[in-house]
Amino acid sequence: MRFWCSALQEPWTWAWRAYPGVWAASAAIALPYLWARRRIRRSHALPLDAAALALDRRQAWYFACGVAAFWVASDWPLGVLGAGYLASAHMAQFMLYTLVAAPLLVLGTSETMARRMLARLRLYRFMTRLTQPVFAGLAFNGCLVATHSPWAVDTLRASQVGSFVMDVVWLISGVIVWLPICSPLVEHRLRHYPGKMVYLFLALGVVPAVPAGFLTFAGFPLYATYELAPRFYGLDAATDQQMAGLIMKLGGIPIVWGAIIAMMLRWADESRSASAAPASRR
Amino acid sequence: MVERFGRIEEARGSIPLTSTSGFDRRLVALRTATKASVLCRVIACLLVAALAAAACAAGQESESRYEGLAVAPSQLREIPQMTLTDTSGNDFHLAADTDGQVRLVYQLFTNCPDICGVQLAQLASVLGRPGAPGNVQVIAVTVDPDRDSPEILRAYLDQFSTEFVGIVPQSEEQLTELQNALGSLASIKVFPTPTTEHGGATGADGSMTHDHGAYDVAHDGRVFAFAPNGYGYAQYPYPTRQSEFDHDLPILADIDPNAPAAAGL
Repeated sequence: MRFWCSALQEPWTWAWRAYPGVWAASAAIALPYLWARRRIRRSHALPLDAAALALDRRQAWYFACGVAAFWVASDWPLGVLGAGYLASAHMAQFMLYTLVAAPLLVLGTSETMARRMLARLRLYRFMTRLTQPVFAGLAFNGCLVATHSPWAVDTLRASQVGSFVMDVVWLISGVIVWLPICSPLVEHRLRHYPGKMVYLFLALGVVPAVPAGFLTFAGFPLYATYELAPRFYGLDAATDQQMAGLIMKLGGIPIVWGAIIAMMLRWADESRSASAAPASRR
Repeated sequence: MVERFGRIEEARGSIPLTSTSGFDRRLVALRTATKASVLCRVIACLLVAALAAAACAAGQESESRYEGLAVAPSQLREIPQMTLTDTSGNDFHLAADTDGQVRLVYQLFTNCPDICGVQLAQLASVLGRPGAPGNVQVIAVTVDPDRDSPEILRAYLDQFSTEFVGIVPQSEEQLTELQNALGSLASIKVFPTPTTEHGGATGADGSMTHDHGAYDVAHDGRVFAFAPNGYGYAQYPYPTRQSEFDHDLPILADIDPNAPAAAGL
């Protein structure tokens, strides 16, 4: 039995494989959350009002979906395909970690929980610095470029520990890049909608297009891991790599532009209600 | 000795490095000089090692024009002058029927769980690229003629390219002769676990037998490349990257069919 998905020199089969490390990692994210949530609920002197209760439930759902996305990205079959067979599956994993699991985990964390966690881990100052848009954007894109270099992919994907490190780095960098947008701590969020939209576009829309371009237009397969893997239904390595590039380039568009459009609508709503308030006072 | 003494004294605090006495200054100067000379020697050694490594690397680079394994001049072989049988049942002369072409001879079996499919996919990808030399012929020889009938081999090769020539040796002796002529390792059948003839731990006569339907074939994974003049200048073991094939094939394809053996070295 293997702990984490890594490259295998075996032909692909649909036979299910157990990866206990993935279950343990999912539990390591979910269980402390449930424990903290229970403690916070117990510490409330008064029962929560309807709005707070709805928010609490919504956050729990977001977090559960985030853990589910993490599990889907890491476990069989996507985890195995991404670790050793297909560059396109590897890229789908990256997108799931950074654009789905990470923002859902951030959205699912309550303010009280985040404050307690940062205080206990003595990370508040560090996170204040890290959530500045320039640092967050640089950290995410630095991780993106580093973990998609042929050397990193071929080295890390060869071992279970390396593969685990790569997946964890993706998740953490995903959390970091989303914090200036939807951090549970208001002081860590960008204040104005235009700033948020520009940040999101630059951090998640522009820079990833560069490595995506390399993957799409490279003359030869860049990653030995996927080039020399047993073929998956005859899909050749060059086409697979082009698909990976397209997933990287286009896969984020619905999420990034969906978030930008949602922010524009909310901004318009808030501006409308702000301008309606003085008029009603008159 | 002096250095050790100085270190002990410094640790005790009796000889501060800023001391102004003559002895102390000499001691400090001596220690500094000793350290500096050791450092210089280390740097010099590293420089010499780096230069030697660079020279070796440069030497290796200049030794071969091929990114695959270049065959040493003393080991150079000509393409076997053998008549084999292709998947259509026709005679196929390895040399005469591919005259003027680069011949990439690869041994495989269709039940191969790993490298055969990868090597063929690599070759198909490289040869399918725009600008790839047109005079390259892949010749795939099965090392498992018992299970690989001409139809099975043809269907397998067609998954990669319909242009690949499939060869089914007509006997073990013919396969061995071909392997010897290529300079390749002999292939052997590998049975995973012995099974019993009658279902018990051993057969009625106590003998262990093999399940003849399930076995692997350990074989040479190299692609043997022969230039148009018939000489095998390079070989490509697993794993060979597409970029390496792409680098070497035009070089091999440009060798004149009438050129002497030295032309491709």
